[in-house]
Amino acid sequence: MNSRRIRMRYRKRDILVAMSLAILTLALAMVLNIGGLGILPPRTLRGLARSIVVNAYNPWNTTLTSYSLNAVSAVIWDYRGIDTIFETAVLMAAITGVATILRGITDAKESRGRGMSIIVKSSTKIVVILTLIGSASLSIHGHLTPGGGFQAGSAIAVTVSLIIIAFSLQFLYRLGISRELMLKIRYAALVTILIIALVPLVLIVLGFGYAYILQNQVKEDSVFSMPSKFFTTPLAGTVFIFNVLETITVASAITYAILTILVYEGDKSSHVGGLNE
Amino acid sequence: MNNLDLLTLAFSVAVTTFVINIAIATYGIFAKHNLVKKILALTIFSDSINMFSIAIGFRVVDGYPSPPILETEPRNPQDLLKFAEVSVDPLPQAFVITAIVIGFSVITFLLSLALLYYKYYQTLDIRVAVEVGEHEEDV
Repeated sequence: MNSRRIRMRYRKRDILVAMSLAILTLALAMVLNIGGLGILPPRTLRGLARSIVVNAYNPWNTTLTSYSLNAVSAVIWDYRGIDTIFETAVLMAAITGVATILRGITDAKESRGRGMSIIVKSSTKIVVILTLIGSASLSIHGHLTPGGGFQAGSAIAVTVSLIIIAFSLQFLYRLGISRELMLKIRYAALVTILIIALVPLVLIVLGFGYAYILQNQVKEDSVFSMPSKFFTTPLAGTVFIFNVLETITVASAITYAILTILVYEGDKSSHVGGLNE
Repeated sequence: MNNLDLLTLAFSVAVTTFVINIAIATYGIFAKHNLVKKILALTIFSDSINMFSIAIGFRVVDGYPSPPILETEPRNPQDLLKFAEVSVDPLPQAFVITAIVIGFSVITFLLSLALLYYKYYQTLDIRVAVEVGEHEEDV
């Protein structure tokens, strides 16, 4: 009787869901059809996008430029820097949530396996080294070529999971990578990001004029500027610094999440979060 | 049928696919009873929306559109204007990378909640919790 009642309720709900989804699809199709997003595909660049594309590297308009050849990196860390800072904060909150929910587990230090065969291990070594070099290039050249902090951090985290699969968790611990270390690196990089965002305010404190939080280059009423060139290579000031720091942050965050979920799955005996007490 | 008409047709087909994909993924979130399948549907949902955002940042130009990245340092302002003639929109790409990272955070958090659910009920079926709740109400 009881389970039948539940099944009836699910059927009613399924019909409701299907109806609302049909209406949603029709409404989206209508909006797109009458040109709610303009002519698709667009023939011209939108005004805001045009201003960003022209000003991303524009030595003739020094108050609006960010000296970054990559316009996407310029948007992420200069024109919409606060957006990205808070997004990093969301990532930190999620990782803190994972650490809180799956608390009470311990890193199993005893040996658990010897890994896969020598062929897999050797090829994994090559792939890991190549991926690390590639992600370093993604991170350091994030303002010159396609790339950036998030992409590089995700690539580094992929190498960690490759190492776990081909070798073992024990091997990773022997390399010195543990959950506590990842958490420490993560918080250190985050605090450094916040400090660099607040560095321009030193000018106000010392009485040299105005400055803005997250300021990159010279603005109309402020002379503060992060370094824009490294000898002859464009450096793009905060864009370069934040890309490198974000790589560290994202890599340690994803590694922490992988290690937490992996250790939890392997450790059946431990109790989690006090639910079983 | 000239080249532009063909491009518009292909673009319409792609946009229709994204809308249908969004609807199917939303249905999956509601209709599936397995928590992991719900989370998979959520990733399909967010990825469809991200693809859609990237697609509306695309544009039609004479020749080939360029990514919003300057290849060399511009020598004069005319170089920049020429670049703006062929470059695609950089804003959707910047928003999508933000959306991907936030989606990653949400999915990690949801997966850890699913692990906790499995630990407590020994299953990933969401109906079990409802039945247990009904039973407790009856008692």
